[in-house]
Amino acid sequence: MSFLHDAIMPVDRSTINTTARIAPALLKDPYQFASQRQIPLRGHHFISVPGRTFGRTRNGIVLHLLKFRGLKVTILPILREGFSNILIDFNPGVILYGHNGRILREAEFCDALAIVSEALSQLLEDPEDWRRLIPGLQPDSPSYWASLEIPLHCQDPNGEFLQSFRNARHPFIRKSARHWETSMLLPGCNMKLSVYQKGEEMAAGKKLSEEELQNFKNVLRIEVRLRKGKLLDYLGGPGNTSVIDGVDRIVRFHGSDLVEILRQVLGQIRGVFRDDEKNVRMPTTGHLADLGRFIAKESLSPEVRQPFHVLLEAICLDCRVPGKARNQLRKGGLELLSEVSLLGESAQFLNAALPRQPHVISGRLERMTRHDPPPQHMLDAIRRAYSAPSQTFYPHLELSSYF
Amino acid sequence: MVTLPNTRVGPRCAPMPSLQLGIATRVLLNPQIVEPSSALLRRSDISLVSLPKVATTHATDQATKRKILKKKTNIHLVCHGAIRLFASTEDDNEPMTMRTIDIDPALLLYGKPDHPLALGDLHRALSRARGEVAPLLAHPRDIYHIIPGLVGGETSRAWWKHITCSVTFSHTALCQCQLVSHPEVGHAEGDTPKALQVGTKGDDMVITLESVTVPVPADSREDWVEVPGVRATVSLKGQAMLERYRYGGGTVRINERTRLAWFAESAPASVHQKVMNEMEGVYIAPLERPAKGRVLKSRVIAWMSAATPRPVGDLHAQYVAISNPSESTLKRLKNDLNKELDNLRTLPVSSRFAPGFRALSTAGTTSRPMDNVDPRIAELYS
Repeated sequence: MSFLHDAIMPVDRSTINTTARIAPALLKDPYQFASQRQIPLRGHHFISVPGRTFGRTRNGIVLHLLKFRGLKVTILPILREGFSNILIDFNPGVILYGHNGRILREAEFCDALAIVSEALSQLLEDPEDWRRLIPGLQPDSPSYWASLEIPLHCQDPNGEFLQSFRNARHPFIRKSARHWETSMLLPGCNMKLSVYQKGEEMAAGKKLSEEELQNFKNVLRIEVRLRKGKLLDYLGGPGNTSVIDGVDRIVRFHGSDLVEILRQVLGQIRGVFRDDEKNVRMPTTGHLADLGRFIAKESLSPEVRQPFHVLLEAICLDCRVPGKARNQLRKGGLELLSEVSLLGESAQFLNAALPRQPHVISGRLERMTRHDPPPQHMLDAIRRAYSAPSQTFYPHLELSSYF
Repeated sequence: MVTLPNTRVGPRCAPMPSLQLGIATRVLLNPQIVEPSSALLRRSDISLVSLPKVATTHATDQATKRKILKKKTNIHLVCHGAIRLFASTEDDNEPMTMRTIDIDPALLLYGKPDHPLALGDLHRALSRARGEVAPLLAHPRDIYHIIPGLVGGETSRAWWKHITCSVTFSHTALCQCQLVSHPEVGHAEGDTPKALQVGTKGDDMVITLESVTVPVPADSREDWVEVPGVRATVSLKGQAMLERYRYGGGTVRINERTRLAWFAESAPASVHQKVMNEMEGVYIAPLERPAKGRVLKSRVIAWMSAATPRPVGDLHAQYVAISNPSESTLKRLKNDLNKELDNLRTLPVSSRFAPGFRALSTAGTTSRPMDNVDPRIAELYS
């Protein structure tokens, strides 16, 4: 008999897009509806969005569900069809623990999805239709994953990893990086990479006290956010996609798929990791490449400590460096940064970090956050869809389950 | 050359800064304002941009365990962003209370956010804002609690919550501003190629510098050329605002706290100037701009010596160690570097934000008719 593999499922804030029939009474008076059915509704507001046809406005509603936060639903009725577009915006860590400082396990993620299913099923005209809400639970389901955030934690006691990541460039993100004292962001359109001190971020949001922060000061979080085409590019594969309304969509994934995304993204980053493949190839030569190396070397100096790309951007603007020359400067600089990287190779870094994922824990929020177990049939169906395929499914064996 | 239609090169004058003002108050709104079918919303003297949408939060009173509904809404008047009222209620049984009023004088008076302001526009904007908000009140006498300072003493309910002031400076390039900071808020963070910000969202003072192009009059003809410029925005609230505006203005005690009640019309410009004078950092100003297309090593090394604390000797040694140049290249580099260092000037960054660099405006000296201005507002805010 084998046990459920205690695999990680690194998922943070995510969005599901689906359609379903919503109980008409909900759209008329959400507060009354929620009170009668004892649905944990924290707040609501009505919205108007421009319609796609004939400039018509569509009137919808946004609901903030669950007593302890983590779930927001936007409902936009589709005229004349009886169905509604539903956008489910949720954070499984916040649902379970009141905060997202933990890297979740597979069983915890399934528990969070089951809590979401139970809460949303009560909004439907027919609660038995709940399988339409979660992608991958039934064939021909309209539900798909619209966006995912995939986090990774590591220990960064001296702040050197964050400093290294400040020089990061990714081939799919063209916009310049932005830097703050404890974080950096590569702000792409359908792909974003952010690196920040998780403890500081939670303390700034008043989720950690000053005393608690001292225990988690070293935890660095690397987060990849994917949506639309980029989500499909990285996660699309056999068994993960389905055609919905003529478009390929992501309908399921496993923890191993997300770890593979992290592996790919980290491997594509330039200027952070020592890249063995690049070292084997001939380094770029010429006076521009040398100049780029010089700027990169200076960016690492303790007296300067400005990220390489910030210095390069300013020099190119002020010294009126043309585009081709700028690329040569950047190439030379990134090669030097890779050569001197403290982080080693990207695969090595990931393999070292994965088994020892540190959590940032808010004791106060975790003590406050409580959920009753959702119906077992919901839990079973979700675990069947989202558990690692190589594992035999034993519903009565629950490792690292929230309940 | 850029030709602006129907413009005339006017005399040089100190332009009025752009303003965004925030008032905190506490007055009851007519409850019909949030009823979609009420007759109030169709009155001709109410310039609602759209029907107010109410957001509801469901909470439980911990003492009585009673369910309470908290509601909040934003109401836009005249046009989106010109006057924005934020109103809320802590309980469904209570009427909506107006908590803040945000006013953009340029949008309110001219319909354009960047339209230059003239002398007297502050009085006109405050008077007009009062007139637009008055019909929405539950009690007409609360009209005196819309604009701060009109009611003195312990019965005051309105005060200035935030004042944001923007001035555009010409012949100043953002990329040449390096190591920018302010002693009260620290270094710039979150920079993008087109903007940098000193101070973060929650700070009492936030300074934003944005790269813009500025039309300036050409030398002798009635034409304009565009030059690089920087729009400097200073946002003040809380203690930082109180300390800088109280001289020449007035304060009031509300709920045991000292608040800013009024200020002189000229105060935003002088406060803005004072803050910009305090900015720290360097402005790299080459006497001669490099020709585009040639990337000079000596130029880059000289730039790094100006923009970073690294001595030029160390930078030179570092470059030589990396590039391993020949003797002749080394000799040429040394000569070129000396020339570049002579060419490069570094100035305190605050010097580029002096009044002499303010972008010209012909609106500054034009006096507008003072009709529709409440004489008490004109007197108080003069």
